[in-house]
Amino acid sequence: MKIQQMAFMLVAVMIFFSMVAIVYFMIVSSKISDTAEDLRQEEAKELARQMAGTPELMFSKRSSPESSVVDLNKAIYLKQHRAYQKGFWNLDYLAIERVYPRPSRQNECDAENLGTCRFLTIINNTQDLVGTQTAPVAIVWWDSTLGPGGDYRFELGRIHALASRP
Amino acid sequence: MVGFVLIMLLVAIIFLVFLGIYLRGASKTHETESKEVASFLEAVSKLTTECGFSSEYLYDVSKLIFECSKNPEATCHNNKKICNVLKETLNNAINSTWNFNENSPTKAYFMQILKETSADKIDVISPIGYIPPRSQYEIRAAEKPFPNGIIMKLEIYY
Repeated sequence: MKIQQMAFMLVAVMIFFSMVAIVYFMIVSSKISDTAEDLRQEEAKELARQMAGTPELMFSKRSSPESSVVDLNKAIYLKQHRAYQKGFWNLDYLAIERVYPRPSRQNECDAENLGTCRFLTIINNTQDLVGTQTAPVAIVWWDSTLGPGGDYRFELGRIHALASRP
Repeated sequence: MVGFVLIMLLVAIIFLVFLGIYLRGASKTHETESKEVASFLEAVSKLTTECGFSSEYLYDVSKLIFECSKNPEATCHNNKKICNVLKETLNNAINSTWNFNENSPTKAYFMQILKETSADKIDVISPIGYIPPRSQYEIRAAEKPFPNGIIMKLEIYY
């Protein structure tokens, strides 16, 4: 009788510990999957940040480059070149948004309306923009109203980038 | 049978203690260095403001911080106080970059511009934003140093 009781007790203890272990591993695995998702998002955001530092978009004044500043005048020029729109950066979507000062209109930028426009879409190869990551950047354009003969005006912008899907 | 109940009780108490410690750790506010906030501070420091020596020669935010720390009563070409323009510009820039409402992931922000002196740190301008009362938010923060011991700090509460 005693041996039977002991056997039941051992089985019960085993079941109890198994349940505790299952709960523990469920918590740990959910944390790991959260961390993996965070890393994927961070990697995509890093891509958006790095775009501001590419020579094609980066602002440089008197040969001193500023890696976190996007030159809107350069970006307008890039937009007109088809070579950058298909596979050059392995991106499906790349756009620059003017954030502050907030522009009065919601229109697309071109060479004529650089001071008042909101979006400059350089690459647009997809309709599905899910997964697009953004990063704040400084944007700069030549403002002829500043200084005696014009000067660079720095504003706050956002770069939007979506990596090409495999 | 009594022994079995005692063992179960002991294990249950230990389990509850560990669970309590785990949950306390998870609910605590934790601050992480954020590249997004750092990028924002870098970008905003270059922003051309509406304050300057004249309407043609406008200062950037870095210059406003320097001028405001040097003389809090100094004014722009349009007679506005430099420190007020700085505060207004930073406030507007933050609110244009992130949404702070009930339905957005970002709930609040807190920005300080501090100047380190030999004794302690003093505010160049009064802090912008507020620290939310509940403490379980995740904080993403960054700092940008300027010359003369000035530091710009931003915390975004998620």
